[in-house]
Amino acid sequence: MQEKTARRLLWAAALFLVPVPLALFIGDPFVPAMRYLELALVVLITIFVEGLHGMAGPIFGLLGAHVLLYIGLFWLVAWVVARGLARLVPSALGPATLAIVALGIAVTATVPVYDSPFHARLPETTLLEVYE
Amino acid sequence: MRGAAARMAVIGAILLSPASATARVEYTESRAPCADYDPLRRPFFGDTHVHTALSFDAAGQGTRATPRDAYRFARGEPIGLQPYDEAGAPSEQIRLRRPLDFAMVSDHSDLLGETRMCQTPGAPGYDSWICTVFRRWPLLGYALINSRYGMERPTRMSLCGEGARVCLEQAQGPWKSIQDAAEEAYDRTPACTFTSFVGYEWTGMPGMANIHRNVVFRNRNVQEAPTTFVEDPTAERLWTKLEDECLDAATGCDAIAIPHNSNVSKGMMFRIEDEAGAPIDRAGAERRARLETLVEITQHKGDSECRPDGLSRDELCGYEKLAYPSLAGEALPTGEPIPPRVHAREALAEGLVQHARLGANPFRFGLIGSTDTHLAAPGLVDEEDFPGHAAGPVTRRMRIPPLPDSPRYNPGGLAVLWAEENSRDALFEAMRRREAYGTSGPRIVTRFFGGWNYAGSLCDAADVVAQGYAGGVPMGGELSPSPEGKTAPRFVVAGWQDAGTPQRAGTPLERLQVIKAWEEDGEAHERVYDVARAPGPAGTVDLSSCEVNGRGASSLCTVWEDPDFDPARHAMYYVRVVESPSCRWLQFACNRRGVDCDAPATITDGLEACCDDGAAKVLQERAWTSPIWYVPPPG
Repeated sequence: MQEKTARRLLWAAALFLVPVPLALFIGDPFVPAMRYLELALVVLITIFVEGLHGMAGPIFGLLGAHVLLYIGLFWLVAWVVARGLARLVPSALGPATLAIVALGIAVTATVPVYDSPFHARLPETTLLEVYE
Repeated sequence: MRGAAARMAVIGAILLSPASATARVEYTESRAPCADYDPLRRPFFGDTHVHTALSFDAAGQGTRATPRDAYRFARGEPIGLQPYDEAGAPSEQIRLRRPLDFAMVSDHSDLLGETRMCQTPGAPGYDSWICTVFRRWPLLGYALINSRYGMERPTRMSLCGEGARVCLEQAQGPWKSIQDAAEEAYDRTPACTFTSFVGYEWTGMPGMANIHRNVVFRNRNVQEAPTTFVEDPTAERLWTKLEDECLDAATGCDAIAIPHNSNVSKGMMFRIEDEAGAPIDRAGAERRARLETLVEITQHKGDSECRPDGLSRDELCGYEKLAYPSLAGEALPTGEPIPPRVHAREALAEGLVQHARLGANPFRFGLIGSTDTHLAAPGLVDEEDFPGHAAGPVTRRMRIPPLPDSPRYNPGGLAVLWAEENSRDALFEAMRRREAYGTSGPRIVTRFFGGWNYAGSLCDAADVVAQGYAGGVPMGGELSPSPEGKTAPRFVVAGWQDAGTPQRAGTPLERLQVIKAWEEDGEAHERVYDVARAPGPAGTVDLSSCEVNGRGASSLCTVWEDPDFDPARHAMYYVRVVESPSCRWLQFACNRRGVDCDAPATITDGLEACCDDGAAKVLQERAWTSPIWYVPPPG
């Protein structure tokens, strides 16, 4: 596996798996950046359907800004990790990267690390529920 | 202070005065006369601010209890509380320790139709995008929809159709069920055990400034549809609708509107301009005073009595204050200062200035408390086991939160009406004549009479109440012109501590205060007088056990004469009855969760407020009477 491929894989995994906070919104959410992207798209569709009224614009801006921030931040993190792995285990970069991603999936699928205040019923706690 | 025998005599005079077998209340709808009628009136405890699953925000918070459930709860029956499990079983049951005498479900008239449409499969709009968002992400849907209605010029969502016809039609079902629930709960038998009122909340929120009013109907003759902020976006337009569709409609309909949460009104609740921005005129002042005879001074989202940095530097004004001028500050603190005229006392004082200017007082209102529960739980005011009211940022929809509510919020208060009997007409008349008071939760009893000739020893008399009425006016009234030779009015001021229950004693009283405001040279002034104090050292509370220590008094009574009276000045007086310190709900909740601020391991996620010095742990519960006004003779 090339370092570039490892970086992209780690980056995508972080965006889909790593729980991150959302500032300025009540309820202390803690879900992956892609979940915020999903919500931002929901708000965007609402704006198209119902017009730009009330808090729709600010909420979309808030969610969108967080998504952009986390996309950039995780790109940097993935770049550093991929570079480190390429230096430490150049011959096993692929397996090492896949192991990290698999570990992330295993942990988030079994340990209740997520917290979304937006959901309708039970709290979303694991990967199996957060993208329901 | 008087002796125990005298106190008992006064209590007896108030609570055990002879009943008349003949009802003298003029009924405006059919009902049996109440068997228990007291011409000297009794205090009836209730709540006029109650939301159920029919309110959009309550539904978003997971509340499933209906208006019927709310009235069952008010009468002492248990109801379920969210979160609900997959089978629909509630996580816990709640129940009042003492039933209420009266209650009113006041669901938001705005979004009444939308709430039904988004939750009823097959209803028009059920499959709309915005309803789908609301069902899938209720709090996001709530933020998107509610904020749209909090704009300067609110508009309906597309699912409402042309002229909001669909949503207004769909609101008819819930409006009917609110009326049916009130009808079912109202005791029309001679036992008169419980009174329900039909009502709703007009949820005015221009630019997020709270100008909400709860509309109370006297009887079952009500508007065909509740007035909504979206269609009628000013208080004046609400009043016009009430006049056109109720008071002047010759249908037997009668109503008042009760403003609430002026504390987060950004100064819009007690405006001295009309909706066009012109200074209020005499007709406008009289109209407001006629329609808005009461103001809700305290509730779940804070106290609205007075500002801590106000004219009197009142040391007790810091009670349950929110630190922002509108509810938007809860989510996005901006550091905006609290504008003038957001508190009831400021408005009462400004009313005197306006009276001197216009010849009529627009802010001639009495005071009550209520809860603003969004759990359909009227009267749920106990600090000790407060489960939250689900009206703020802390949701119970999905799970029981670490702390039941925002540390800034509180369980709310009660409305108390002095009436001859527990019937709608008797209680409504008490609201209209402002013979009412509010408490911060405890069932404190207080009497307040103003006159010119009360004897200094009146508190010792067995017939103090009869003499109070005969020689003057009760709370809510206006002093008669001063008789010849009298230089200052006298007031009978009395308070009794909450009698408590066999399981839990009430907290003793610390003091009685008279708050006076007057007009002088076109400006408002105010002063606070301590008129009676419990003997002995001040009470204290042990935070670890919430035990109340110190002596306090079970009752206090005095006859007070205004030492600074000027017969040429407009003035008003109201009484504040103050309990000894006791634990606030936050301290009870933290104790129950085993928090020890010296042991960091006990301060788990979500319990940080337990050890935040900025979050109040102790409070002094209180009651506020409606004022008695003095109007100087012309010239």
